[in-house]
Order: sequence, then structure tokens, then C-alpha cells
Amino acid sequence: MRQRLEEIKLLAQCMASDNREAFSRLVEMHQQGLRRFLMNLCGGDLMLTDDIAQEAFLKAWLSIRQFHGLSSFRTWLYRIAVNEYMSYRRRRSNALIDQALDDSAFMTCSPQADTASAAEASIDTRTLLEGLSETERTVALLFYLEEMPIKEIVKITGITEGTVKSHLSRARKKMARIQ
Amino acid sequence: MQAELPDAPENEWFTPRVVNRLPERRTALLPRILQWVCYIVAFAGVVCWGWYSVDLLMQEGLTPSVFIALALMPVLLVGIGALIAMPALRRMIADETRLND
Repeated sequence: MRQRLEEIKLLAQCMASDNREAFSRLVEMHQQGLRRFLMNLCGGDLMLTDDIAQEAFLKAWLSIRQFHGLSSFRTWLYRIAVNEYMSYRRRRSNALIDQALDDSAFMTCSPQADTASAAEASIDTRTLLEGLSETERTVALLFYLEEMPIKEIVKITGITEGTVKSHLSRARKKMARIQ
Repeated sequence: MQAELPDAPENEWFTPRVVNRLPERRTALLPRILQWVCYIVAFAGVVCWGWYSVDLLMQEGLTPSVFIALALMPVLLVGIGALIAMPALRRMIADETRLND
């Protein structure tokens, strides 16, 4: 609750007077979670993760006055980030994306890579995610990793509740098959 | 999944980089509206001066007092207009200089 009030105060300062200090605090509050989500969405490519995260924050700043508070700032920010990622995918070929899903890039950026069992678990989960479509992976990460309710995922992805549930169900089945 | 998937490594430069990329402070809307209102009022003033001048000349002819009145009015108008427009002019010149550099 306190964090929510703090966030509202910072948003008001950004909207009223383009307060960069307030916006940098908003970035600090959300950057770790957003980067974690994007890193797993991008298959471990840190450079791509940081690029997309930066673009998402930049676009949030540029359109901050259009944020009406109907959803949380986090939901709005993730929506921008997902759209940014999808735009990136449309611009690039699948070959470049597959290249980004390089094992060594994924392993070196993982803090759990020191232990063999944690590394194996990461690889297994990454393999499971690789078998999903873009939308299924996005929905699965938002639901399982970010623990967002279905209604928030609907706002972020722009797809209907029934479709989100169906993507989640398909993702679970595919992951069960791979395992 | 939460336990198995990695976190993104800490990046102390991430926030400063984002903040450095933010564009310049946006000009508030109200001063710009007021600025344009002043421009319109100045233009209306010029038009009224022209109309009054023609009317006065046709009624009284070109006497010294008429000449002084007609000369003083535009000076006053230009002076007031310049005072109002000077900050905007200065800003435009500064922007041009910055772009040329």
C-alpha cells in the first residue's frame, strides 16, 4: 500500500512538472522485474533485454500524461515492453532471434549457473519455453514468473481472457510433453 | 518456474542511461497559448491602428498633432509587442544557435 502511494506521488510529479528525479525513482522500482521478464522472453540475450527495457521506459516517459491510472503503472509499463518486443520481432528475422538464444549467453548471465543442478534446471526451463510460441511464452512468463492475474495479462497483451487461458493451457500441455 | 528461471544481473548504469536518454523538458501548454493570444492581439492592434489612422486623416487631414498621434501609436504598439515577444525570440535564437553548433 505504501509503495503504491509512493508510486502515485512519483507519477503525479512526472505528469505535473516532467520531474526526472521522480521518473528515475520509478525506473529503479520497476527495472529489475521488467528486465527479468524481458531476459527470459528474449532467451537470455542481455543486450536485447536492456535495449527493449530502455525503449519501454523511454516510451513510458513520452506518453506519461496518457496514463490514466485505470491499471497499475506496472501493467501499463509491461504492455509497452511487450509491444516493443513484438515490434522488434517483426523487424528482425527468426534467424537473428535464434542466434540470440545462445547457450553460453544464457549461462553466463545466470547467477545460478555456478551450481550444476541450478544450471540444469535453467536449461530445462529454457528448453520448455523455447518450445512455446511467442504469445504462449509471453503469457506463461507473465503468469508463472511475474505472478500476474489473468485480468492484468489481458491488459498487457491486448488479447481476451478466454484466449489468455487457452494459451496458458496449451503452454502447460506443450511443456508437459517436452518433459 | 520462478525458482528455476534466472534474474537479470544487477546493472547500476541502467537507470542513469534511461534518464540520460529522456528528451528535454516539454514546454507547458498555457504559456504557449498566452504567447499566441499576445501575437493575435498585437496583430489586431496594428489593424486597428491602420483603420484609425485612415479615419483620422480623412476627418482632420495631416496636421502636426495628427502626425504625432499616428507616429506614437505604432511605436507604443511595437514596444509593448517586443516586451511580450522578447522571451520567445530569445528562446528561438538560442535554439537556432544550439542546432548550428
